Amino acid sequence: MRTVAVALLLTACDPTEPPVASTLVPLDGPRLARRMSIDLRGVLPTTAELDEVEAHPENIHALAETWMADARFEERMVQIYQERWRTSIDEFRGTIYDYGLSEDESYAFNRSVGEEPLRVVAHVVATDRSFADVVTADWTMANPLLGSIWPIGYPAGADGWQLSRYTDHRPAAGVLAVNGLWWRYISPIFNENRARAAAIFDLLVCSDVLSRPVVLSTGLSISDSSTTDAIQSEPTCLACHASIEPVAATLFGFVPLDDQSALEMETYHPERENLGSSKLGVEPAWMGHPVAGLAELGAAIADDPRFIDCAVQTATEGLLRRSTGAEDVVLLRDAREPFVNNGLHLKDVIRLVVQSDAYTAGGFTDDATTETVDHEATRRMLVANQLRTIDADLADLHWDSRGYDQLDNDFIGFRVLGGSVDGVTLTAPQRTPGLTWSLTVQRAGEVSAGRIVDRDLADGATPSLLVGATSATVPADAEFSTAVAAAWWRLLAQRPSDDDIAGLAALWQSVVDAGGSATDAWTTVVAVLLRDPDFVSY
Amino acid sequence: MKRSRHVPPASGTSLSRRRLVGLLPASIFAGLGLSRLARADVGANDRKFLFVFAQGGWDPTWVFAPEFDNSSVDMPTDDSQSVTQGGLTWVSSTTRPSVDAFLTTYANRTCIVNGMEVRSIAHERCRRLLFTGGSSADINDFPTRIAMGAPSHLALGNVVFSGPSYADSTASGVVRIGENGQLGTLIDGSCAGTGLRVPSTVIASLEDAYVLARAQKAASIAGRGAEARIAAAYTSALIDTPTVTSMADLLQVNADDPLDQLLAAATLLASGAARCVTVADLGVDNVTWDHHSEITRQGTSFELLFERLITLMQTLDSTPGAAGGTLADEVTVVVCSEMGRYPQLNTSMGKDHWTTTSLMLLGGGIRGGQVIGGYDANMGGVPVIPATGESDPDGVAGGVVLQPAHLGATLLALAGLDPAEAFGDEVEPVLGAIST
Repeated sequence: MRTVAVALLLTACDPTEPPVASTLVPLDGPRLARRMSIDLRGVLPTTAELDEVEAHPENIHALAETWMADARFEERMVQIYQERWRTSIDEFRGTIYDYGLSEDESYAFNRSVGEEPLRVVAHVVATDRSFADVVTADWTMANPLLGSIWPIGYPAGADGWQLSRYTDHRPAAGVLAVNGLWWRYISPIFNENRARAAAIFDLLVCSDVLSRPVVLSTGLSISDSSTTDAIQSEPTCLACHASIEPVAATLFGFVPLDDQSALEMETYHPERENLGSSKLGVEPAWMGHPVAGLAELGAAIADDPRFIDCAVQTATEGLLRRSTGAEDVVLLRDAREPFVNNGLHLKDVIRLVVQSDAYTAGGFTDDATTETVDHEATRRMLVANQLRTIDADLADLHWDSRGYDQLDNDFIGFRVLGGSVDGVTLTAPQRTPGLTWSLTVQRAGEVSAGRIVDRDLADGATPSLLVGATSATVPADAEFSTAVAAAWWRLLAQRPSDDDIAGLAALWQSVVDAGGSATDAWTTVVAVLLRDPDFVSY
Repeated sequence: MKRSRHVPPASGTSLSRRRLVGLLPASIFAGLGLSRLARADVGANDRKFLFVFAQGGWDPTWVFAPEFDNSSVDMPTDDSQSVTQGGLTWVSSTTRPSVDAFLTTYANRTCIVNGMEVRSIAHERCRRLLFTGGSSADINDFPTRIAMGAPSHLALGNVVFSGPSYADSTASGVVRIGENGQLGTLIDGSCAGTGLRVPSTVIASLEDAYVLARAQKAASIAGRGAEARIAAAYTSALIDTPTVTSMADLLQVNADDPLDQLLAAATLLASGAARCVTVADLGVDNVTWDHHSEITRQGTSFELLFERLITLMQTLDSTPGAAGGTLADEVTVVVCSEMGRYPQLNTSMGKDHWTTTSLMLLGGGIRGGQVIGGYDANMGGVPVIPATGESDPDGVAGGVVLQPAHLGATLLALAGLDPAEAFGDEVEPVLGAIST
């Protein structure tokens, strides 16, 4: 991450265009619309939207604007930032038992805590606020659960995630002042907030100090030198800690006296803010610039060019579904320009990225280099959290068990098995299918297919996917081809060939011949479409 | 202590190992009951690996590092003493009889490595460093590298019963069982839950055949790059699914029982379907080895760990291998933890994090009866000459302080893979740890 950000700065004045673009072949309109819709709002395009871009491919960007205004865009930003910030984990030190919640509320509790900082970022982006608000806002995002357990003034009578404010007089510092971030990135008391400071560098300026090797100087003696002394005097320690310590010093309002006490951890402690200087022996600062506290730290970070670069890089990588490298310097630079010039609205970055050659690519020309072929994500794999929202939209199904969303937890569910980031062991979405992913796709497809068929073929229903079909429709009927073609178009954004339809008709018949009912046959037809290689990738 | 988070898999209770053994072809276990089967020459291609990970950071001074002469190190205050036997030196105590029993019995097959610099003190980072040799998110861990480098395709490749697993974006050979063994519920369909349905076996076979044909067609017409990778890997996964389904019972483990997982690992490795298995050990409380208070819990944790390792080794010794000897000849066991602990006690009578740690290699391919490396006066690592495993305290003979990459290079060499491809020429495998 750091490498690209530095390269971006170094090449900011270099007009040289890399040759990558000329060897990329874009997707056709419907498949590109499918990609954009999945990336921007987490669902497939509607049939009408596909029809529109098929007839008028140039309308794709107008559709993208619509999708960025969709309420589901904010949810997608939560997902994209989870992949980078990794706060949505399955277990926190504070638990449901600390708050008298039931076992069935465990999933909701953990997701509420973990998503709090993600929701702040997503709300900033979705509502066109300045991205600086991420580290300067005097508000957070809360849902009724957080509002009921933490010192948050959740709007009376509201529902869902709402802009809210803490009531414990914590500084206005955006995500730097929300519990969810510091419950995820804990620092043991002995660690004096250094781990949290490292998280700030990693998440907000894409500088991963923890990747730098700890090298013990032979001159360092464990017998006569305290850790603090060494950190302030040993050159090998100072290389990182000269930056870390002053940031850690700003975070002591979040230090609990007892790190097993949820009450201590949920409450901000203004009276402890000044402990940082004495505990760490340094004054609070950001990269050499003194700050008076957390609020000024946020402001200082917002003014740091690396904060801008990191925001651009994070959004770009989330959309391209791959890491950025030297090949992407021009794209990153181009995306940065409107972001900086127009008030730090991240949608400007997103708008530019989804129009880029790298984003729209679906293949290569013959003269594409091996490096380009290896680097570009011309096809992306749907992972668990994407299947979750797509299937929920298609089937009106929330696949859960004991209160756990099965595609969004690793306790009893299939988030990691389905290729999504858990934030601990899988820190980037899986990009190549594996066995457990295939099984997850299979079961998600099957349960969704059952729900879709039950709904679409119910007596008197107007099918939303199997258009024109009824429970009495059989392959010999014209309605069968119509329904299958409609489903194929909606799910794959491709027009099926006659052979494709005949293949599904044969499958339908083989299920019946094997003793299955018509419902079984239709369910199988929909299930195979939901497992199709062109459905599970985009 | 945190509450246990174990929820039994919805499909039912875990099977006993005895029952699992019965699921394998009888020929594999024809030799069961023999106290020790003949040793066999095992080629690198037949080498398998079991990673036992003490999660949370262990304190080497309770077993591996008898630093009684170092006044800067707080050693256990029970009756611990340094013992040397069979080429090994360790910290012995009457409170840890299994440690003594293990190291006495298996000394000739055990290599202790001391003074490995993990180069971080943050748990998550240390785990990644320990298992991958680097800190990037785009590096495969050692088990994944080894599994992907297998001479022939394995349906399961690298199985993770518990513990860390790091794979880059292109790795498709990792099979995670899930925190509570939920992979089994995917396989048998019980994951669907109330009100939802999955197809009958007959219909599922029709469904699978159709999807496989579509995937194969996609693979046949795919362009280059990601499109081809995804299509090919999806096809491969679909082809492997029936094999995995037939082995579902082998993948059913008790998430709260490391011994159950270790024995399941042995069974799985014996089946030949997997080349690597990872099992986490969570210490005495079955939560973590991260003892910032009550450091004495390290002693109990080590005792339990070695008790399990004894059972594991007995199982490996009594299980026939594929090459004519026993499974013990073929399986290299790596027992490790992500970090060490600060040499001195903190005010809670615990120990905080430390960058230097120890590990243990045992079993197939390992030159036992030796301690490689050591600790200097400040509990830093003593340089080691990789080719011989000899210490080079002054660094005058080309010695290097061992790091996780050296561990990885050594394991890749054992697996018949080129360490240089993963770590470059500058990271040499510790050939001194490998039997010739």
